[in-house]
Amino acid sequence: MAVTWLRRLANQAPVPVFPVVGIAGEAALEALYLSPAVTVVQSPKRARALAVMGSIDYRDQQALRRVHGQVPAPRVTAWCSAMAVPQELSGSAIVVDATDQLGQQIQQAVHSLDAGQQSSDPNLCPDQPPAPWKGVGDGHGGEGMMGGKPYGRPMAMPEDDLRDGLQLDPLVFSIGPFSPLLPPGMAAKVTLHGDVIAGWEVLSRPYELTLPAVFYQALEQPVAVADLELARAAFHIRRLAAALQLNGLGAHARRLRHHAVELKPGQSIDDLVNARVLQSLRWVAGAGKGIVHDENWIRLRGPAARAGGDARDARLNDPAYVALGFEPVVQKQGSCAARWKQWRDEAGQALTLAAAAAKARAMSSPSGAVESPVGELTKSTPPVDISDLMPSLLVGLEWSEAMSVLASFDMAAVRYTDVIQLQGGGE
Amino acid sequence: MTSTLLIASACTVLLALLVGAYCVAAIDGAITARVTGQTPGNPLLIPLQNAARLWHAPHNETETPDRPALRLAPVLYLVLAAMGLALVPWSRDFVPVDLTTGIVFWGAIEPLATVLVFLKGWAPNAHFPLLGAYRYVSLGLSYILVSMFVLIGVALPAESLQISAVVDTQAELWNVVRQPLGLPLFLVVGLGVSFWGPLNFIDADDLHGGAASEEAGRVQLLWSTGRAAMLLAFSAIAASAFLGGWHGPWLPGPVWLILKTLAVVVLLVILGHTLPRVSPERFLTIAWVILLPLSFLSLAGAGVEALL
Repeated sequence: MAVTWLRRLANQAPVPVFPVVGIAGEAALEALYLSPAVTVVQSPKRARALAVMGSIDYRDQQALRRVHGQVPAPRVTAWCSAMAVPQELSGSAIVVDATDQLGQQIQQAVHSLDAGQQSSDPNLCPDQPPAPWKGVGDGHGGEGMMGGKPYGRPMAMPEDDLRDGLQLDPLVFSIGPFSPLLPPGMAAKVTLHGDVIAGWEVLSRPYELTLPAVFYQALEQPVAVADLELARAAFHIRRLAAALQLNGLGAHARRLRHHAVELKPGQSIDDLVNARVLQSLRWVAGAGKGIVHDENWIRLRGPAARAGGDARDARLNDPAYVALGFEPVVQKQGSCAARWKQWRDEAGQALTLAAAAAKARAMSSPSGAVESPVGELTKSTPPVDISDLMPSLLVGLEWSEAMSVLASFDMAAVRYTDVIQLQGGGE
Repeated sequence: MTSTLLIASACTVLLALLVGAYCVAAIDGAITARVTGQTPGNPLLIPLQNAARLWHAPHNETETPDRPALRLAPVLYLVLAAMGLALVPWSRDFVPVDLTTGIVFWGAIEPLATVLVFLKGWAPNAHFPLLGAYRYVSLGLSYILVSMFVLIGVALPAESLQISAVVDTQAELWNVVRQPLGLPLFLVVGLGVSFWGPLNFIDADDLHGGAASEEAGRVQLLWSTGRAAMLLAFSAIAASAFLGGWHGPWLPGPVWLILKTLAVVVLLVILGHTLPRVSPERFLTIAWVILLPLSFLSLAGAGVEALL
């Protein structure tokens, strides 16, 4: 009786889910964040279910299998993707088409699993270390396998520390392509001295980013400026939510994510989140770091460029925006905190512009370039990947600083060709 | 101490620990709901639902963990919280463990908590927990010193290191008024010891959950309970050291203690939801350059007052 009561109580709690985000999986991820049936967790070890959203690149299939194996069994896999379900999971994975049903269906599947009405996923990887331990002891405080990568297992070997010349054991590991700390698809090999980043090698670039449909439509036909600006504000607010979450303000992040789906023209950004909370991001680790110098500066686009004082903005060439009195907002410092402030200011400006545009029934003028939330989008040159800038920005930073810097950039290239074809546009 | 009193003391501490940890989780849930504007259910039931979920969740095993450390760290952290709570006087006549060196004993709990947190990060044999543990330990000394000076400050008017004596000296005037710098400085210590909010360097999202990133199920439940219990124990000590403990008009002493303890819990939880995690480097500077001199100043003030 008591067990049944405890189980019933457990079933009322949200189910922890680890998200694996692929190409075009961004919308499903946001739906998952908003679902009261689940909690999105940062580590697969703490999850009961894995949610695969969007298409996973062929090169990352093995990584997907490894992440799957890290969710403790018995587990559930939810498949919200155009890709075929792997053969091993075809009998157990739940396939979800409607993203707004994703959370609820995962919760039901986990309840069925716990009740014994559904079987757990089989392991996709053998339950053994990828590289054997052949030293003395059990590997935790053991000895006999020092330095380099004996038998495929990376081991520590003292090297000069970056800061004081002392000798430290560098820790080398790879992160990604499904780490919540990096954009989907991005993987990096990291070398740490203590908590200072001594090496950052990009192993794979992030998947191309899918923008809200209205920005692609604006390339082909006139669209309501109010719709463009509301989509822009929602995009920036979601990015700010990720920055808040990273820095320990998860409740404020959730608040912002919920507001992002119901934005109204003319709303004030201060109504969405306490202004002091956003301002406090100036004090977090890495706030003053991540400044792009020299020849790389020209590669920044959109809000990242404007956060450093570059006022380039395709909206200046659109008569509809000119009629609304649009002037780009810019910052000066070009740092991590400046980029976050730029998102905040541009989101606020977008809500104000949306109100004015709705009143004037303003429509955009397709002129070959649209200012998307991540930079200028044109038919010939959509925003390109800038993840190769990261090593020079991150080496020498402490881990927490580096994570803030990563969370202040839109690194991924933007999907263009296939999205336009799907929408039936293009030339 | 008679056996009846011993049993009563042990039961009181255990009950306070469990009910208190539940209260911390419920307060955290209520404040989270207030911030998010979303009410996912009955806030009084949510902590129990989450605990039941973790109870039934499968266990996670890393490759060659240090098993004794893995099991001991959360248990001992909970035990430390219980030991701290045992020092708190509930009324003039009822103190579960009334040590003559109670202040020193609490002072020993703080560095021991640091050792256990490191053990917790070391045990799973994984890099993110270890990073979280290193980061925590590197900052520990900076606030533990602040704690020592602030606590010596409250012991001076009492001319005793016994917590019940510290509470007795506040019958007329609370230490929060007598030593206005003391409580704010001590609250920083509380955020550090229970790694809450701006000083959560160990279980942080920027490390995929840090020391807690590899755990699931009942181990996670035990660790979360320990964290909540430590926040409660710290709040009870803060209420006794600065807010007059069980002293207060009209209501019985234990009720005053509970109310004051919960007030400190609410304050700490609100701070946790309002302030972002500070940069470790910046916190180290703030702790050594600002907080430590302020704690000296507070102690010097208490010393002058004791001499007059």
